[in-house]
Amino acid sequence: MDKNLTVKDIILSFKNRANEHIIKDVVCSLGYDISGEMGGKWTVKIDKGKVIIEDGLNDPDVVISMNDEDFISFTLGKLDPVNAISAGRLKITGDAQIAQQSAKFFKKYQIDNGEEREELVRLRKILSIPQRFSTGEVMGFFLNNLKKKKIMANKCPKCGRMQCPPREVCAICKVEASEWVEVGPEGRLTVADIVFYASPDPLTGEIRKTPYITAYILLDGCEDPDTFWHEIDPDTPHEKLKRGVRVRPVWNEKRTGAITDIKYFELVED
Amino acid sequence: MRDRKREVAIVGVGQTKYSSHREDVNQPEMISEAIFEALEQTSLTMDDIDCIVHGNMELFEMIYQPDLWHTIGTGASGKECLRLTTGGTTGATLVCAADALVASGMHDIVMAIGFEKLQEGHTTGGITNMADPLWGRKLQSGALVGITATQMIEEFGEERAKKASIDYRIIMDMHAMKNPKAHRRLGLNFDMAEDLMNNSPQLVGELRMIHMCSQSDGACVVILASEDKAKEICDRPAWILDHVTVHREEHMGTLFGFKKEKLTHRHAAEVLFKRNNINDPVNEFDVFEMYDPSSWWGVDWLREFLLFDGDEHLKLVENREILIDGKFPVNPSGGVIASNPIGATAMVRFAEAALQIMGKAGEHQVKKEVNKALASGFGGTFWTVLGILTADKPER
Amino acid sequence: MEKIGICAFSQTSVESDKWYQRFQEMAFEVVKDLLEQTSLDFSDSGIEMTISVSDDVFDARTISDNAMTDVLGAHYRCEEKVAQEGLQAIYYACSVINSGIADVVMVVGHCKESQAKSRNMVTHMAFDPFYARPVGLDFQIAAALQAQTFLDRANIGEDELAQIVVRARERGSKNVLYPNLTPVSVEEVIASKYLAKPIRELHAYPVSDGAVGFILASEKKAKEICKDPVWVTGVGCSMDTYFPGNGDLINLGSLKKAVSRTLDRANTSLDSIDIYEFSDQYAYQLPLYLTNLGFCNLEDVSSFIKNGGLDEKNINLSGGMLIGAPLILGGLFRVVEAIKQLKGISENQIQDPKTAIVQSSMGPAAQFNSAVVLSRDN
Repeated sequence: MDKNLTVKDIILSFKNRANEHIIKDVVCSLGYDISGEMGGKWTVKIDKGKVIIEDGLNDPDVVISMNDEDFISFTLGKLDPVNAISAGRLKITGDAQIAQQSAKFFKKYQIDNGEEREELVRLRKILSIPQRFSTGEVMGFFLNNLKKKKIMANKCPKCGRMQCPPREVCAICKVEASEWVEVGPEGRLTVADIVFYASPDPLTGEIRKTPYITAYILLDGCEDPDTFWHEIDPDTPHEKLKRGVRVRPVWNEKRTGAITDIKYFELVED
Repeated sequence: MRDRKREVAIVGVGQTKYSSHREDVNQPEMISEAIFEALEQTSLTMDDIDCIVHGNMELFEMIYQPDLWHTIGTGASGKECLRLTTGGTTGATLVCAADALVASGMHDIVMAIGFEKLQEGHTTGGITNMADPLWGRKLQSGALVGITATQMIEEFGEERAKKASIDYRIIMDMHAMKNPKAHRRLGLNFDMAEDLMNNSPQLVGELRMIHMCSQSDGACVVILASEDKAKEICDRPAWILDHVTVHREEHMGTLFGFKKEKLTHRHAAEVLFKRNNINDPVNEFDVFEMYDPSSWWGVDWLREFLLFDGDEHLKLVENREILIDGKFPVNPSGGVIASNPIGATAMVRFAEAALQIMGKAGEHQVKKEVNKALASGFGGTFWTVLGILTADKPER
Repeated sequence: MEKIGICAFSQTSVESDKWYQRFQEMAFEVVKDLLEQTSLDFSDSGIEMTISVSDDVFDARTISDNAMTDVLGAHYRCEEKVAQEGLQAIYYACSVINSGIADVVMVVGHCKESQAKSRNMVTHMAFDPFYARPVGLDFQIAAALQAQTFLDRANIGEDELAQIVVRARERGSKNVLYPNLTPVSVEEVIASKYLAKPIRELHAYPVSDGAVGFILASEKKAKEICKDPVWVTGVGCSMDTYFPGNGDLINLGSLKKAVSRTLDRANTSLDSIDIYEFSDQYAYQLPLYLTNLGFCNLEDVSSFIKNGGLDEKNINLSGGMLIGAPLILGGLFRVVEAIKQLKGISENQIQDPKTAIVQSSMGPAAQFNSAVVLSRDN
């Protein structure tokens, strides 16, 4: 590592490293709070293609905090950001999405030592093959009934369990399940998971609004532990998500025969 | 099931360094690194290899039948080949398959290759595509499940449960620091526990970023040989005593009811230990390489695999018995939390267990003599593959 | 290798679009049939292990056997997926049974070529992203390159290819499990549009959906389970180099090796075999395989085909893969046809065959080949 490289050098170099075609419409500000001997506080403002560097943290959209050595390592690609966050060495406060996107705003910092860096070929491509999925009879029957606001389970002739969503066989008894029984629509929450981190959709890049709540629900008519997997109204206060609490489905106005015909489940409150 | 036709041992292991930045190699090049290491360790050449067993989770890299392209890096040209893929358990399944191929007498020396180049794909996208397209795909949040943490907190209290899972995480990192192949080596210590367990960003419920395994690129190669050949190739080969594969139905709902369904981990342990006369696993095994995708699961599954019923598993962590020099070392390699090249990960558990028996684990070698090792694979809708390796050739 | 017994076999119909079923239902037809035939259950005294065959890319489903565990009896039991040409499931089953690890194994494969917009988009993904893929290769185009080379060197053309297709479809149309198949004329074949020159639409195996399965067991168990098992006496395979054209496109080293390894294990020779089932995905592949295995020389291909050599030598009596099969299940559907011949219940039955060899391939220009020898007791 270049012993003469300072944190300030790197901050000032943002001006020369901008990817103009990417930042031409961007308006945001990134705050850097670097601790250590070489540390300092700076705000890098991006205003439609212009990069302005100011001393101090002047109300930035996001603040990136780490120590000086880590900042230099990170800039030179030697410190993995995910590892650094996990280990508490890199903290991001404010709009984390902007921090994530800012990786594209600037070119990589190159140490000027006169050597030509070998260009490795990297291909970026989104691969997709259009599909047409069949529901088949069993799933098809279930999904069609969702249109009618009915939740159908199919029963195992041997052990009697109500399978919801329905399957062609009872996997435990290894026999064909055939009898249809309506269950729910209400039920009890067995356990809920509050999702804070949503991964971007691989095809669209969209990120779901978080937190949202996935849950397992024991529908009326089903026997423990044959639970139904769905979601709870994301606005539900988390303290109310107690084991055993009663829930009911909230149906979409427009139903198409998909699992999303149930928008989510909400708490039944007296 | 009948008596085995003949005994089989792992005689060599090769691994790439696990990393998230292997832009310097393409897939066949990456695999060949692991192969060269295994060949060097065993002084074998590709001519000695009869058959190559290959696997990964193909939808991650979106390559159709990747073993076809990979022949330029695997040396499979002209050889017999088999390809199996079973999700997260793939690596372990490949070891089981190689075992069958050699034990059957059809081959004498088989090379198993597991790999993944997650940076060349979209991991969560790949995992989300595991769900039924008509159903779960709209709901699934990848492999992130926080429910186990919720259940453990409910059973043992927030403080004890959270402390155990963070301490487990720290121990795994301490082990990873001794493994030059490990992907993530963060330099954690117990003083950081409080800060990490409360401030690490939350993913799902109490499952935080610090608890979760990595996404890694890498390849692992394991060479298996028949009885006579094994002794020629390796001083102290790791013999395959037995293995069991336990899958589950597609729907996971039965795991999350009011009463918990028995996990496949426990079922696998019950079946395997009974078959092999193991009554006191925590004292009979010298090391356990467990497939632990998160530290919450790592702690919870200690109870399942060791057939405990109370809080013995928490005590193993609290009393530091799972450390490399402890009474029951767990994941001296750093485990899955440190390195997770999914198609290889389960194989790495068997490879690392084998290295421990062979005495070739270097800085992360367990100090006491390793005679019996346990290795597990995990994947799919809570599937388990469990295997036992021994230093002594099995007498049946 | 100790022989293992096939105690039961089953297949669904092979259709161009099974839109009305999802994989689970399709495979369950086969599983149900196998269980009924053998009265076995999923237990340590019944079916000990399931080997499934499917492909994640075709299914657009990560861990494609994940969806199948219910119907394959794999709940709290062992199931492993062979993600390769289906015949390899038999190769693997042989090793599992020969090793003693399991005595009774069920093999079930499923695939729907109709699910993806085009199967060529799937096979396009087999190539490396830097060179072969950007050039536009998929298995069909690689086959076209190989086809043109073969047609030139064997000095054959439209007539011979059309005759192969006409014969295949005529035979296949007798099989009620191939409801979309109809006989065609030489003129219709020659008039069908080009897919990738010189391969015409009717030269190619039809887009197919289907499932197929078997119950295999050790010799001792097989005799307990069924009266008359068909024996698998040899298995073998081989992989060739990757880049198509790195060598002579029509000299199939992996085919020769796969067949010779299989014959070695079966302790027999090619001309001792009574019937031959080759997985010809495209019409040119059949004579290509035949010249590689010594059935005839390059210069004699035309007369071999025109003088009824295929019938005379009992080659692809069922019509071969040209009648239809999903790509990864080609070999297993040929095994069904071979078993039917050995049991005397084929639609195209010949007198008293006792042994059969089945071949299948995977990869561009038949890079990987697999073979199985079957026989029955007298």
